[in-house]
Amino acid sequence: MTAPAVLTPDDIAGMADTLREIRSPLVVRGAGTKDDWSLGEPEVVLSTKRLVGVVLHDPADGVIVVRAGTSLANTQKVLARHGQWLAIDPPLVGDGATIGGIFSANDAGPRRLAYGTLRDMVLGVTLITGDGFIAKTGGRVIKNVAGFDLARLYCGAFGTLGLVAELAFRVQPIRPNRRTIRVRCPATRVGPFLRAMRVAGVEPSAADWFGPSDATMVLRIEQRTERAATAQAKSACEAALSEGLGAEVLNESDGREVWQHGESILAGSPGDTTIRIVSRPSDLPQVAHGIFAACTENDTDVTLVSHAVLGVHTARLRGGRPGDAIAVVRAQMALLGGYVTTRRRGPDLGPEVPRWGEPPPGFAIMRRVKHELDPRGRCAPGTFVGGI
Amino acid sequence: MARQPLGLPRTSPPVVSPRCWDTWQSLGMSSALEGVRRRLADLLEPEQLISDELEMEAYGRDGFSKNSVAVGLVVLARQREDVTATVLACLEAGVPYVARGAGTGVSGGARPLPGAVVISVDGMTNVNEVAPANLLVDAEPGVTNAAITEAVARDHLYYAPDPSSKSVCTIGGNVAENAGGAHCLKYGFTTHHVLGVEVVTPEGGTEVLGGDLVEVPGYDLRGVFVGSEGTLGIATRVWLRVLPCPSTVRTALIDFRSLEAAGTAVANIIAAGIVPACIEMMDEVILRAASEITGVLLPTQAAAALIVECDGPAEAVEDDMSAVIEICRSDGAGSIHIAADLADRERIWRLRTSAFDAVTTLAPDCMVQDGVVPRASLGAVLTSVGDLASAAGLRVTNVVHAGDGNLHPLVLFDESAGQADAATELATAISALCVSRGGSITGEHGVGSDKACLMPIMFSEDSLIVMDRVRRAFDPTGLCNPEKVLPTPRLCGEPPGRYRRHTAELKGAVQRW
Repeated sequence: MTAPAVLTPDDIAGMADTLREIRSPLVVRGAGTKDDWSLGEPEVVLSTKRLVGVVLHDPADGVIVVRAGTSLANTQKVLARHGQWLAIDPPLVGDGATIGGIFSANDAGPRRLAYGTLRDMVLGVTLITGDGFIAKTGGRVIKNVAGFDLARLYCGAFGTLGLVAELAFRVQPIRPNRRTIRVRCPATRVGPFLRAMRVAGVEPSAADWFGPSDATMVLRIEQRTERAATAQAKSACEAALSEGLGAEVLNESDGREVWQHGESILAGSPGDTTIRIVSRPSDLPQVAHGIFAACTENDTDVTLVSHAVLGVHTARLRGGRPGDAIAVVRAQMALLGGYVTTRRRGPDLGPEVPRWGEPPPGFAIMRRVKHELDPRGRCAPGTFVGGI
Repeated sequence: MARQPLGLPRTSPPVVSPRCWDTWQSLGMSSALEGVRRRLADLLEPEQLISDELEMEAYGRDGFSKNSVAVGLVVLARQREDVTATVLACLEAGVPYVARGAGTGVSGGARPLPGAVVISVDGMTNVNEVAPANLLVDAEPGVTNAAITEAVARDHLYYAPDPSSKSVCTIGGNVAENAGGAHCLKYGFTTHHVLGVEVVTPEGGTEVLGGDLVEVPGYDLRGVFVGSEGTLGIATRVWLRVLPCPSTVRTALIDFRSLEAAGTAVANIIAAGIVPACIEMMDEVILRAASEITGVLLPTQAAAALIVECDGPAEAVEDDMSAVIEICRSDGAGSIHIAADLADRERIWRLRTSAFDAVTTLAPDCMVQDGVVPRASLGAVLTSVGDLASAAGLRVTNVVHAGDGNLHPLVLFDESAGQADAATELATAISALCVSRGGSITGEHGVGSDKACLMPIMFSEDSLIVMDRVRRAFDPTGLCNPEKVLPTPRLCGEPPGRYRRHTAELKGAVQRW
């Protein structure tokens, strides 16, 4: 297969010109950290490589405006000088993942529990439709209901409606006092433990469950003051004890290690297959049991990390017959009203394993939205849900 | 790669293409309406249809205007099937329609076009499911905002967005307007708390946008639907995220010698990395009026006051409140009063929640403006608002969601003295001021029919075209709440996007107050 032609316009107008003029299908790419999420190779790549830089950072207002090709890592560096951050911790940041790419994939990490995803932080975008119209939606103030909220439409659209060229976000103050707490907790005890934490007024910024071996809940406490962090960690441990679960506050390096381990599962390594499962949070025991059984049956090694309060699970699959395991999990999740999508696709995952599964609700309108915003079907045609 | 010739000529279609309700108007609305009425009479109970002019009068207006529009027909929906039947009947007859909750909106979003059908959903008041373990509530659109919280209160949960009309406004209306409230500084707006919406589409089908899960594959149609002001369909069921009640809440009333000083304190609180649950600001005029009608005594002769509320874990709240007080002191605060108990907290809040009642004691008429500016420029912008008011020869008093940079200048005037036009012009000038400072024409009240003609000062013609395309994807026939949000030639007097001096053009073009 020949390498794709890569187009790298210098600015927004150049991007719009390209989209207006191009006749072949194309794929928008930032740093390419999620290239192995898609099936097949694109012929033409529209790169945001030159669309970089922080356009505006107003620390007093807590707002940043960046171009799509800017890496999250660089953005965080700029913000950290003022004690702020874009409150998102997705995987692949170290590999250069860009803001535009993370936004288009609506990817996130453990701390989406407290802060949500970029969907929840975006204030406005400058977008370019598939046929080259440049449109602004939203603004750069933290409260705004003028006009249709197209920013959220482009968030998670995986570049199938054109692209976002410039994005404004609300940023958050860094809460420097942190604790990581590890709780031994089988899947069936996660619900009661979360409830005990709520009653005790514990507000973790992340609460991830790991399995199947060493079934563990890992909590992250982040507070502005040391005193508050200490008190929250204590309450969290007490909540665990009240449920008969063993808990320990980890030292800094062990804490860092446990979150890095979580990130390595979310990201997967080249050759791995990772899948995203979304369920009602209370279905965690069924989700965990189902995927472990399906993987055992298919000789596939599996590690699961669940954002337990949210019902968002990521499984890393290695070896065996991952495609067969995924098919089983999909059937189970259909019964539970959940969803399974593939993320990183290993070489052992054939094209017969679809990325998205059945078309989601609202599909009829999605197809029309695609037609209105990419009327000539240039932007990653056939790659999105239901073959959009 | 060499550039190829244009694939398509880049013609700009009109922002709003001719829609079939134009045809409806030219064909005569009464026979079309009669068709809708006859069809629905077969499907619904007689008491669900209101066509008496006097009874319909209340459905011809909302919180935006005291003037009622002549309504064609009112349908009291009890279930989704009633909504579907009405939409299909309207579609067949080519009659425009609008959904209505409690009618508390303040931008004309639920005001029908003359002769249109109003579909009232405020009788759909079932809470279908409360799932505390999943922090989820599934409710019909007529359930009030406050009733959502009531439904989960015994599980120590609550629904965060809290518009000041929360005891009466419906969740369906909140979804349409992306309602905010005082506490959105920390907790966000309706869009952050809606997981999914069941919608009767403008074509009469039923679609679920999003769902009962935090993420669903595909485009975030729920995100577009929330805040679309009833133009993309009618919500018949909503899945909401609820939150654990914070264990501790502290509220402080802090007064300042000037609005600027209060504004500086707000900027410094935020710059210090503190995120209170809310920061509200009021100026002297409204403070005194509110104190008068509530009997809540003011601590001193304040020129401005902040209400700062912190919530969360006890230690975090105490530390944040001490830091807030320290900052306010160094920014010249006068007296600082921290509520001692719940009753005391409610007294402080009464000052704020009574503001819109209090204003009626200040002038015969009042126009509530809604604008947003970057938070750090709040003090300077409020000074400019004062200057604009002086120049217009009118009084303005300010109630501000200061933590969000969301100002609500209250333009005081006397319609009987012929001040209505001057007040409208001043309100428009304030909108323009907000946009010129990098802000927005509306932070929470919506565009509706009130500000549709102001959209071009904030958005380019291409931006409006793209928004209209999305609207068309949902509503190809344009019968679903037409003439809202996006400017139309009929509403705004000339083709949108060609604006030079909006103020002059607006005069007389928009029905207001």
